Amino acid sequence: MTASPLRPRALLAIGAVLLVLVLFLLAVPAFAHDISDADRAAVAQIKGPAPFAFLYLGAKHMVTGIDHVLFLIGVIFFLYRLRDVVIYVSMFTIGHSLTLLGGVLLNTGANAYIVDAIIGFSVVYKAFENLGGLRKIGLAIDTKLAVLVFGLFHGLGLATKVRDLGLSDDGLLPNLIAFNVGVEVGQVMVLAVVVTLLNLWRATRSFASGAFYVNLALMAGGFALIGYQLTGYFTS
Amino acid sequence: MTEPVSIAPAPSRKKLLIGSAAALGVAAVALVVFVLPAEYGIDPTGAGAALGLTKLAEPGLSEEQIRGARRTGVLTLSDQPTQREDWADEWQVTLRPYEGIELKYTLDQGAAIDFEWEATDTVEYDLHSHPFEGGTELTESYAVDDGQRMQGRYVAPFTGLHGWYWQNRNLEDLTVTLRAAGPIGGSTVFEMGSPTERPLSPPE
Repeated sequence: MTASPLRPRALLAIGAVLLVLVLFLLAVPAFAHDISDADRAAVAQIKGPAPFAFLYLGAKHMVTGIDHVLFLIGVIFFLYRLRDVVIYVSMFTIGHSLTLLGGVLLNTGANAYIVDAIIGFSVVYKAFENLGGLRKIGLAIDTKLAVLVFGLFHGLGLATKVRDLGLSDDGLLPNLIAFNVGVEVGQVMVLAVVVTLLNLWRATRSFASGAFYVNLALMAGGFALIGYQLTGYFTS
Repeated sequence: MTEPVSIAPAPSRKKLLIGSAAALGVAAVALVVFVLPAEYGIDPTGAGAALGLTKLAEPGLSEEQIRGARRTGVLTLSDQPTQREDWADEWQVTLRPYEGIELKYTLDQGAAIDFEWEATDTVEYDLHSHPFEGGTELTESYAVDDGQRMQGRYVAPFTGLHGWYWQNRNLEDLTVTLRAAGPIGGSTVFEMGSPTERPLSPPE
């Protein structure tokens, strides 16, 4: 295969598109991703099981959590068979549920900034993998296993957010399970939109060329998340 | 095993490298120019300040502070110790680690007092007031900060309770000594949220 170097004009166009996308994507987490003060104050008053409140918070966290959404877009980007979507999303679900439940119940956890930086890296990794980059640099990593492992980190991130809510011990397990179910509900909502849009786009001619740039945009979003979180780690 | 099916052709090595570098570059620029100034107030290029983004990183003012900031002439701080001998009140309190306490003077609208307080270590404070008419919902803050001393003149913007909240955020006890002179109607100490009237006690 001969290399087709990018012309300056194309590079400029890529840059502009990526910039707009990144800005758009970054505008969201700044306001929406962390558990809001109002939610925290509300949770502080909850004693005992409150399944629907936590179901809602779980779903809200997933739908408004740009890092999880970007990773999901990356995971299903080239999947068009429903069966594959279900398999890969299941790997992700198993991964993040394990560490979400385990992390909160065992009260273990890692530094939230580091975990969130790794979640940002999972987006970069997935986009790079989608572009065939791993094969190019001679790595053969099982794609399903990678989704499972990164799912574990996404779960750790979820666990720190749940702990941040200051969950009362009274009704901890049912509330935690409700939160986890909410996360899956939110995930299905995100996937429904993303899969539909991707399949519509996949049917058009522009998909083949556009796929490259969208994955680059995902990568840029992941890089930005890493930088954002690492800066938080080093300044806090 | 079902591998994800790629409809799009994999890009060439060169295109992939250039694209990845562009993604990294765009992310770095977006971080340095927009995200870091807005989120952390870190602004190496100055673009964040020019775009007004660094303001987002500053902690917001509370409603009480906004109300207080609208007033003028309430609090006049001074660098010099207050030149008064006719103290109407002196009060000393020792705060344990993370203990907070509040002392309020009853002042009529327009009443001017001179005050000074000093703490044996850095203390968090909030100089605020609320009118009798309207109550605590109309609380206004004039100075929220930490420090070891404060001195100056305070002119009551309305009839009500006016005074300080202090909190010790050190791991050792500290003592706050307050003196005030002027037409003070009385004083109230709020401890753990419950008010206790206390008589004024001018220094001997």
